[in-house]
Amino acid sequence: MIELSGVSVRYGAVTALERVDLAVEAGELVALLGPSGSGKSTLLRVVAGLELPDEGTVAIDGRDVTYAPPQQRGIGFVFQHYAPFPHLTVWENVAFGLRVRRTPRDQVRRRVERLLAMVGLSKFADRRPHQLSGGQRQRMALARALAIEPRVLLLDEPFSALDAHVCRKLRAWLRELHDELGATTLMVTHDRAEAMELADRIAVLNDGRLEQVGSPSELYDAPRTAFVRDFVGDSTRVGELVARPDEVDVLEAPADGATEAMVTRIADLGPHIRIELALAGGGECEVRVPRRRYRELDLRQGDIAWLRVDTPLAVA
Amino acid sequence: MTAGATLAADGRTPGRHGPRAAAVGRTRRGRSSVGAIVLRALVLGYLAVLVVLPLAFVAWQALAPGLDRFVRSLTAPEALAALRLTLIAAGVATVVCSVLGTVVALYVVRSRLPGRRFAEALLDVPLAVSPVVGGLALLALFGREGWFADLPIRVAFTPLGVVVATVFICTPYTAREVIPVLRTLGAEREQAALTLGASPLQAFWRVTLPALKLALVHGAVLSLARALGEFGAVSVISGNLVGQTQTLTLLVQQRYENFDLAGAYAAALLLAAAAVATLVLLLRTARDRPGAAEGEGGE
Repeated sequence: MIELSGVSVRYGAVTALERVDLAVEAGELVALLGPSGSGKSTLLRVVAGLELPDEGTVAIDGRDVTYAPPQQRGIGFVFQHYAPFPHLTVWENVAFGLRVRRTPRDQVRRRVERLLAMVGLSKFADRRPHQLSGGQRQRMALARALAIEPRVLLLDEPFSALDAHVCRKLRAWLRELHDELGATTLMVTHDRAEAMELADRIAVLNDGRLEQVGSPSELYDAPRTAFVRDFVGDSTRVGELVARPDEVDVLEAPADGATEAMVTRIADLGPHIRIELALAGGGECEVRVPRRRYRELDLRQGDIAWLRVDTPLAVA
Repeated sequence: MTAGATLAADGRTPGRHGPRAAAVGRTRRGRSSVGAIVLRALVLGYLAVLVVLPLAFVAWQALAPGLDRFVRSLTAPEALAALRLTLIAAGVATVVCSVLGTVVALYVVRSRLPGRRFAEALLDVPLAVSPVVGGLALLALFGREGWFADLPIRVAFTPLGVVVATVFICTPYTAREVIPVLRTLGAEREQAALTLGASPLQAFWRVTLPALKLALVHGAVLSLARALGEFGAVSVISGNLVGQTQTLTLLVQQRYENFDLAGAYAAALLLAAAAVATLVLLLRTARDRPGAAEGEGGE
């Protein structure tokens, strides 16, 4: 549905994107994940037509839109701070895209009412954006983008301006909405938990380059670069092997392939316990153990334990 | 503007800043401190001596010879012609500068074309340069030996010249009001409009312009006030032909020089009244102007 090929964007001496290739299937929700400055927002804006690439091509639904203006791409865009039209009511905001296309009035009314109901803002139709809470403004921005029935939905850090509680609720709601509408969606986020929870596939960007694209499981269990490994989850080293802290087996007796270690510190994190150990052969290690398992082990500071890694991460 | 500031200094803000700010200049008991009283007296004294007194004096001098004389001065043919020219020039200049000012502001803030910073600096030239120099420059362009001396429409020593000179003088006002608002607003809303299918023109009309409304009105009022009182540039370019290219300000000067003091003061009072009326308009638009943050409502 969306095909990016060799896309590069440069601002003077700074390279924002370097030869990025990405293909998004119809109906997929792909997250663009990366730290600040990784180029993920730039990539989204290139797809939207708000930025033009210096190299490469962009195709939507088979059509080359590399230099087409945003109006002609059939996209819907939700900005990080929602970009509401302050002089219009919620109803008029959502109706904007339809009015601009001179859609017949009753058709506008039907669609706007349906969308407002979908996002739960029917009662706020006559309010102005500044009278809404952050979460409500976000939902309005989404409804506004969906009103024109875009083929592709682009979200630029949609939840970053909201507090954690509202965030979580809206995340779940967005996934449901996506499943219901089936719109191809590209979402920028710097929050790995958000990407893991919502996306069918995640594209990890670092410093303008695409590091890896894959499902959340692929990225977590089989990262291809050290950056992806450390960005998508924590990792710990046991001897020569690297593994996720919660994938290290903690044993009470020596076993084949297990490394001896001494417990140096224990931290109770609630759902799991973090145990720091000094390895017999030198070096330190950090493992995470589910609470129930910890009760079985009953390890204290100074105790000896044996660590075994059955599922190491490929990248060392 | 200043009116808003003096309201706050009074200590009785309409609760927007909370009780602490209202306590500025007040002692614990709520009575004004000595320092605040002295400051207030100084400010009011300054305003009285430099603003109120001269205006009161002009009014007195204009009306002292009798209401009859006053009305005759104002209804004399040269006075009516001057009034008409002043209003037309000020009106046209305000409209032209509003439109052009907005275009320049858009170019400076939103476009990625070269020369933006230069253009922005150029905007201040009519403010920095003496209006007389401006008028002279126009004369150099359009006068008998000027570059554009042979245009089909004569500019020098005509009412058109008066209008052109006024436009030159008023050029900075709208642009300088609109530019900061455009900057603070950011391009996101216009981009949102584009992604929703609006053409750049539609985006401007439906999204940008409504946001600029107050800045435009404020700029227009400033323009108008400035245009009404313009003297230097107009004096040079117009040739001061009575009944044809003479504005109210030029009329005041001419009558004064011809020892028609009552007539001069009458015209001056008219100008002063127009200035005060414009100021009142200015105060209303300034107070209604909430600053850049209003539209966002806080993010």
